[in-house]
Amino acid sequence: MKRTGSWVIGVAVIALLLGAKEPAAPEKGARAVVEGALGEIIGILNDTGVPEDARRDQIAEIAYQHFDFDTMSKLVIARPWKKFTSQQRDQFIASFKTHLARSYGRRLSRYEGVNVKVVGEIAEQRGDVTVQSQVVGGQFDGAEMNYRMRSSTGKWLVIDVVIEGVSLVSNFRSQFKPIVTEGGAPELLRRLEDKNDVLQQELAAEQEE
Amino acid sequence: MGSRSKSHPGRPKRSAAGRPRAALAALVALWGGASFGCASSGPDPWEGFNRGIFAFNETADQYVIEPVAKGWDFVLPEVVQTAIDNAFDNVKAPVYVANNFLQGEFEEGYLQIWRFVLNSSLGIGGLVDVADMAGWPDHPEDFGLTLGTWGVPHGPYLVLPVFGASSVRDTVGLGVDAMGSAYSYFVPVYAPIVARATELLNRRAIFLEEIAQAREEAFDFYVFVRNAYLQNREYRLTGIEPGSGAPAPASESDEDLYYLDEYDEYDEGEDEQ
Repeated sequence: MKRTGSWVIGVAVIALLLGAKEPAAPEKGARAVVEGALGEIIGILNDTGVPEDARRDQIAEIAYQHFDFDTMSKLVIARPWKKFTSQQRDQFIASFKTHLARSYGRRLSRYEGVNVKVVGEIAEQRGDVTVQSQVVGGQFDGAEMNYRMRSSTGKWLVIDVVIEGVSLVSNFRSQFKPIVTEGGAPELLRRLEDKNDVLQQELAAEQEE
Repeated sequence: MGSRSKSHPGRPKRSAAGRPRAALAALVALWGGASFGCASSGPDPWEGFNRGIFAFNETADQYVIEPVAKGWDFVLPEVVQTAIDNAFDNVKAPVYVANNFLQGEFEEGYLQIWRFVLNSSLGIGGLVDVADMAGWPDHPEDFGLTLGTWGVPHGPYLVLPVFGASSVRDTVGLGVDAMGSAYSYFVPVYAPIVARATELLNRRAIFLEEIAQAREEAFDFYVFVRNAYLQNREYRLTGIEPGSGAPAPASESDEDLYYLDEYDEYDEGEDEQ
């Protein structure tokens, strides 16, 4: 009886120590975050027993947790962001998020069987980290896919994806800039909504096939 | 457009040594730089002209190339398309080898020779990329990149009929590489053209869905392609191998791309990008 008691106390002490250690442990590194998320996404992607739209939603959910859409939106719009009203900003962030989810969601079936392995990380200026990964299999076999990570709130989040040197943020920025210059925020928001509607229809059509 | 394309003189991957090389670089830079490279209005001073050619290419693609590629894709299974792509890649080995050497990438150059030997024999004339399976990935380098390594700026963005996105420098490179392809010395003059067309068609078939989707999603497909092309070329010129642990190149464009607080300093000024 006495022995059992001391055992219980011992476990309790260890649990306490572990528990106490938890918050003091260093935050999960950028590389570990990417590795974890990629592992989850690829697991879902290749779990072909589950219907495609369900997998798409699951993957989007994981992506939402790991992308910093606020920062991405700001970087995509760049300087004119200051002229956006807070309502326009919120609307853009939401629409841009939808846009990314729909356009990448449509590619899902084509990426089945593909794996992505994390191969390295680079410390960038001002605390950002680029996590480097490589595609294995599929039509983009060997392609280098980099994640630009930023930890502004103590959690590493993706602020850009760079595939073979082509930055998602830069690519959207270059296309949005003339639209904003000519028609301002309202025009951009309208075009983005229109595009999202088209993508939604395409997704629905593909679902029926 | 990323401001990476301000007419900076290209960042050489390593300090280029050797007098003949320097002399050639100076010569090409003089020609490329003096007559084209000093255009002040960003990377695409010929946008009007380029958009014309781009529209022509898009039409040609829509009515001829894409339908044929669809037929090609319908008839040939994916494995065959990959095999054809591999074979064309293998034929270009001499070009890859030469350009790797010209850029001072001797280790890669030798590796490309061994790839050629291995793939031509065990890989049945290049149909199977056995070298890649053995952990020797290809390292395609072209003369446009070689010129870039030597410090030749890419000059204005240039859209070529059929070939698509290019730059003044890369167009010169394309011509030089075409002369260097193995088969151009052994077959009649039209054969390389047929071969190139087949190669492009096959490539087009492989990326059928991807291209259709990119085109549909783009807000301005011309800008989308230009941005992707210029960024990818810059990356291939200065890029660091994954996992090499090399420090990130201090890039001016990264500052522009990822940190916006600099903008506060010159508030109302026109965005120079």
